[in-house]
Amino acid sequence: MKKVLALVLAFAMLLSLAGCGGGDTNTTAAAGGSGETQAAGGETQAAGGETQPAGEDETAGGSGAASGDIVPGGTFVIGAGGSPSMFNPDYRSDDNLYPIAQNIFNRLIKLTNYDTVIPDLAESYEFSEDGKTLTFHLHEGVKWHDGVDFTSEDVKWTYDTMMEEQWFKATVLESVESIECPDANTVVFNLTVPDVTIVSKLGWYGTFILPKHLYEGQDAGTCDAATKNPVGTGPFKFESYEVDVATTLVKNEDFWGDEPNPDKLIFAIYKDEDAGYQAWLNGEVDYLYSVPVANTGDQDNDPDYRVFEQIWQNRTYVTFNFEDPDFGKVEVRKAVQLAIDRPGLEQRVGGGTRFAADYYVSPVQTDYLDENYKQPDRNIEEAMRLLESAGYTKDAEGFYIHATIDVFESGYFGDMAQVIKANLAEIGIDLTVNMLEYAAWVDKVQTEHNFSITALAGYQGPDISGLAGRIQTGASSNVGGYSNERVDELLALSNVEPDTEKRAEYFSEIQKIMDEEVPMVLLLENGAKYPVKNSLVNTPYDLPEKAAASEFTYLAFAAE
Amino acid sequence: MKRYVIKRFLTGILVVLVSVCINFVLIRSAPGNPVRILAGVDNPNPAQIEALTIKYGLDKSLPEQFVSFIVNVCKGDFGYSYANERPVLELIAEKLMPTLLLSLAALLIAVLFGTLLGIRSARKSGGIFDRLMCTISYFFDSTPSFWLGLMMILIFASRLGWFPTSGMVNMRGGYTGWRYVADVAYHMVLPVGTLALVQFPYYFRIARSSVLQVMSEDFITTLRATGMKESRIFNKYVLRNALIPTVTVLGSSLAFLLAGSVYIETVFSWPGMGTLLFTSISKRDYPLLSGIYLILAITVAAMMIIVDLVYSLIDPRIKYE
Repeated sequence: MKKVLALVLAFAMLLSLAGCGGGDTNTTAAAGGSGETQAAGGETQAAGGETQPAGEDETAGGSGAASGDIVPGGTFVIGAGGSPSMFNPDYRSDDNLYPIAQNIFNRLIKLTNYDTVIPDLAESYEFSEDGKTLTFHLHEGVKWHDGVDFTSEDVKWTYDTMMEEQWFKATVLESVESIECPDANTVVFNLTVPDVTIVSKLGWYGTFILPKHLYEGQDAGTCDAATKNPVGTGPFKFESYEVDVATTLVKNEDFWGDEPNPDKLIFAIYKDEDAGYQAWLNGEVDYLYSVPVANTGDQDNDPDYRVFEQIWQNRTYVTFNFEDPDFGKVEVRKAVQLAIDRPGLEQRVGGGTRFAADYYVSPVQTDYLDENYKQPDRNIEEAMRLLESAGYTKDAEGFYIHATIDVFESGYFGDMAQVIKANLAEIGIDLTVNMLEYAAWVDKVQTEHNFSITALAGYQGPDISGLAGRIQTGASSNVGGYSNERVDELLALSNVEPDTEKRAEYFSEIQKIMDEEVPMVLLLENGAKYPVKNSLVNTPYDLPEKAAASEFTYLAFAAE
Repeated sequence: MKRYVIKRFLTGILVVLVSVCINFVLIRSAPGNPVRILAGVDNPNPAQIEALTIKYGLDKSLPEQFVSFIVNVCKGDFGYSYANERPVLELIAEKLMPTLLLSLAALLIAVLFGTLLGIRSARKSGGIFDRLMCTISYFFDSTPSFWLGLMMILIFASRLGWFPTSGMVNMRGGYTGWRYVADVAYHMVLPVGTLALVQFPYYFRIARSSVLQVMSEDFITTLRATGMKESRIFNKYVLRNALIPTVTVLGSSLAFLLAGSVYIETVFSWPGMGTLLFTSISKRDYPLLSGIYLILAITVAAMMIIVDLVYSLIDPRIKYE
């Protein structure tokens, strides 16, 4: 019986691993991330790859130029931080699939690493005069990887099904009333309102066109095309996938666009970002999305690399539970805003790629940022005065408020929470840091709404309208439940206003309200440094006019 | 003997059943809803969440889910992985071999070298070799496996370039046949070496202390008094008795070895069950977790039975009633 007990205990110890489950909820492809709400540290995706016998290293050497002579063909190992959960890129949020999907599938238009939108399956598009009809003209002669002709019906089926089954980016199409296919190469979107944001959203995430002939009548989450044999129209065909090892794609010889250069792409999986980084340094991986935070800047002065620096509409912030008796009060939220040392936070967790956030709108949105509404500098006395004006008095321990900040385990969030705790202690708010596994955080914060303060970060898309996801009533990433009728109204107006100046006025008023009500305290502007080996040329960073953020159609080894 | 084997077999089944029950309840008691995680923070559509909840049978009560799981397992159906959209058994079958390859190779090396070095240390107890080996064993015993793994990568892969940093095969190579075997063996050196190094102190200390203990027994003194050669006493009497504790811990240590390989597999990107287990925990992939725990329980229970039976070969005093 003792042995039985000992064995049962041994298995119980196996279970203790549950406490270590970090997982790969935080991986992010290039372009500031694919997922709208990524975990902290999502910019630091690991890479994976392979070693080669001596003398067979295709990546050795190189001219160091971003253009020029190239070695035709070749096998390229691309680092990946985790396994894709499936191969339907529109069905659910999957940052591990997003970079792979950009090489198998196409969208109507696509997003580059520099937040610009360029043509993809659609050669061109135009809005009607009233802005309520959007017409896309598709490329002719496009075929699916299985040889079937691609037509406008595929586009209609994809988006109709996305709306009907409410796939994760169905909200992109909320202004779409119906989709028509006047001919095989034309798609017409009939809109309920003149939605000026829809084009950029269609180029982003979860909007790839799927083959109607393989999906229709099947379960879009479990059918063969979604799990084992994805078929797209993109520059590379799916060859194989092994869980936790790699996804392999081969050149699509019949690609309708520019001829792909690589013969083969291997998206190798490295769950430990340090190991992936070492593999990249060792030449086992050719292209790495980003380096670990601790190694950021290591290649800055290395002549064998070129480093691309980028900042996006991607921000880290703390937000509040608006039903919380303390943090539901604007005075308390303003006190928190005055207490947090944003430059200090940049110094502690910035790693040279994150910068203190000053404004309510991302600085990359130059057309919409109103400098009149700037977050105040740190002021401990004013913060304490605000707390006292709200009726708080210090208790025996010297604190006005005792509360908890719930953050999930990811990247720099742990360190950041400690800095916030120390900052708030100075104004008399005793904060307990509650580090949670992501799954537990989703349960506690998002589902049960059982929290006082939490922290979030994430790419908000190429357009300013991405802000809505954080502050609009009922928006998915508005976890605190902030709600302001005027803000909702202004966001709706801005979505249908084509004139940039007029839109800027709407967003100026939104920033004014944010300044008054402090629905969130913006902490950091998130960017990244992407070192690329000079032995590689024509990366998506080198060719923003042609390639999507993680599209490797043109990738090549530099000729000696 | 036959009766004993049947008894051990039935005990093994009981162990597996109890483990499966505990695991089934515990993993579902942990905070985190798999459907919510799958739906993601972006647009977690209530209708889709409800549909997925029904699809995966999570709308049923825990006892109903358990009965359904057991009935399906008996039919050979381990369920469908939420996070991988593939049958659980297919995933486990794919990942079990790499893990066993890694774990058993490391176990073999750790047992072999740990035991041999332990015996040698005990024979020269108090000498320079003994002191050196004790120091080394304490060092590796107190070294976290993931740190040691990273150091191995840094030194032998990144600095010296002798071995690949990670993976199980050269993806660019596409080798087959003996070249494939050689390639896997080449990739095994660092992860197996790391796992063996953190395991060897365990067997070293058991072997050393067992030999020292047996050597101080009265019957050894008696044998010496008969004038028997020291080498004969050692090989025939000391060694045989001293190996029994090593065999005893061998079976139970396999469970810890499989659990410990999670870190090694992650650090070396070794495509085994450890990595799969790690990911399925974070995604609350209940069917996959239950399947992995069941397979691990069966593996370890089988090892325990085998070890029990091996006793009789080593120690004829042990009779199976």
